[in-house]
Amino acid sequence: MRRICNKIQDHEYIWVVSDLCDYTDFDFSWHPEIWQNTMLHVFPSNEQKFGDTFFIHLPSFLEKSKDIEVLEWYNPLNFVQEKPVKRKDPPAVQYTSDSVVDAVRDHTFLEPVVQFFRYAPEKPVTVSLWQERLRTVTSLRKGSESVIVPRDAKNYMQTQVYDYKWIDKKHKPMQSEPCDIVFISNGESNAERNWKHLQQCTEHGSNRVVRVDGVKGRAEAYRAAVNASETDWAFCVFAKLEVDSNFDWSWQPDRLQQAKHYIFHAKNPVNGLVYGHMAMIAYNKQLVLDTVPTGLDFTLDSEHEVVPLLSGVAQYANDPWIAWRSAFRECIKLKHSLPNIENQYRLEQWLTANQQGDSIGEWSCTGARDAVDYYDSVQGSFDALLCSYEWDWLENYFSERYSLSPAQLCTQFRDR
Amino acid sequence: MDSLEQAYALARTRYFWIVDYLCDYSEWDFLWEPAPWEANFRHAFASQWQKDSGTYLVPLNGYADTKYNKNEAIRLPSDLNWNSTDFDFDFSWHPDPTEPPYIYQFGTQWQKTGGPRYVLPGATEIKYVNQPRVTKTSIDDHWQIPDNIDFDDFDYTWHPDPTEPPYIYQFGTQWQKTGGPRYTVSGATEVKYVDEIKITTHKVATAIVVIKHTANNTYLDVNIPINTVHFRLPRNFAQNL
Repeated sequence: MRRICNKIQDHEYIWVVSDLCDYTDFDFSWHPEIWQNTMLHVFPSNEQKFGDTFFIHLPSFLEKSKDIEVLEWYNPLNFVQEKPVKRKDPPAVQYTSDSVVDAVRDHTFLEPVVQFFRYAPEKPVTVSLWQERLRTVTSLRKGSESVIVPRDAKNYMQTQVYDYKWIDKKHKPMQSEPCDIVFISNGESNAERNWKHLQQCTEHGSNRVVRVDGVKGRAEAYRAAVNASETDWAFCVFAKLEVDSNFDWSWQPDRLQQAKHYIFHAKNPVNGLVYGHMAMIAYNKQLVLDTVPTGLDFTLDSEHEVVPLLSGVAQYANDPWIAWRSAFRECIKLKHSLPNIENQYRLEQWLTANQQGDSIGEWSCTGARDAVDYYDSVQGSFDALLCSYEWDWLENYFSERYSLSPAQLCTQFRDR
Repeated sequence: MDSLEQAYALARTRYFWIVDYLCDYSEWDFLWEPAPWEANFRHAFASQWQKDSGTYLVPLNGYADTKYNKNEAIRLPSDLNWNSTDFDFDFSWHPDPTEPPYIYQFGTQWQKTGGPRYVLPGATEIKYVNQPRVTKTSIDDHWQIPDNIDFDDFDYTWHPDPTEPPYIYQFGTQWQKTGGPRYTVSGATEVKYVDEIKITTHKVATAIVVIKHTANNTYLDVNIPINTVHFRLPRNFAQNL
């Protein structure tokens, strides 16, 4: 600004305006009060108080701006609030994936800010352009389906928008379309009860709730679940999860990051642990469809993030067989993840804690111990561990170890 | 005629007229009579200014009440009771005879004062009259006009009210309460802002600098090249100025 003013010193008063604004209805005959002559008069751009239009008394400005680094520090400033200038809407660019990151990286910015939108552009906010810290990324919807991105951000972005540090956290975005909820069941004893409970918990929300039942194979069940969903992410509720009645079903994934699955927390009623085991997962549809399972856990095979929100109680210890099987599978994964201090603690809890104090809880601990034994016996062989993926293998392993089929175990339990 | 009693004594008809020598009766219908049920009223007739012009039809056998009629007897200009007739003013005005005596003060198009006074004998209290008003056309020599503002439609016939203490009268523009001319009364130090008339400014700033944020070519170039910013005029700027 100082450089501009130095070039045109033969004027007493000048306007400094911006090509981002529409001056069709602006009256350039405006002038300040006599006693305000030496002030820097700032006109808002839309709702942005520090706008792009200035009325300047050149001799005063050149004198007073000598020692200031930032225009906002100019003293005195006069904000002419009653005469806002319309800043033209930034261009709106649609992106078609589940993350805005690639769209921003691929876009050639001709303007200082651009609105990227997934479904429909929104009424933009007016970002101040005068300091980098004010040129913020601003989400217009809770899930960032529509977001204002300044040109500067592109230079910083690697894998997520958060690589650029100026993100507006104060702006309150509009609500997003809620994610669908898919209940996945396959003959679990408590499936009907938990399905009804889920319906009761969500009846006042606007989420679409559907059920996928009887699909064999874990990966196939997940694919069926996301195919039943009409939203890009789906809350997948597993039949053994009794959802928390206080869960916020308006939760949204963050499109400012790469697309990923979001694993919520669940409470384990046997060992008291609260973490992602058996918890609800917000699956990204495309990632699920694209995933070819290679590891011990389908979800962990793709980008994922843990969201420390309680989704419910994992009611897996209703019969001894399911308790043993669930503990065995989870503890294989925990053991395989070591050394990891957090998972080490979790494994200890699985092995020892039985807060229910009943025989089913004991079968959970037994399953955990058997998993560690198996892990040691195969010396952590990944191929051997992968066997725990299959229900049939687990049944055979249990039967051989205890000379008892799962069905017999459950019958004994009921008879007792 | 000196008194109403004298008129009664001289009258020979059922009614007699009392007229004012300052009225024009060239078109007056002296054959007018009231309706029978209004025969016992005194009938007063209006002028162009008041409900009572000094013209009456009086029943010879006396009256208790006066009925005011709308038929106007046109009052003629006169210098009677006026303190000055050096104004472009309608001196046919007269007060309402039913009012107590006042000093009637007339104003201009700007103030409640500045016009002639009509002074009734014995009056001490001033009464300000809204109409008629003097149209002041002279320009006082108390004006200061800012030299950096271009305006030509200001009415410099404005003057202050002499009943106010002395002020520096500051006139504004369509944007601010300052920026227009000043009228300084001798001895004044305090500023008073006048908003009844405003200057319309057309131009104060003499240049526009457009900071170009985009690659779009939506503005007209002006021949002042600068490395990183462009001096440009928006299309409507010429119209606005």
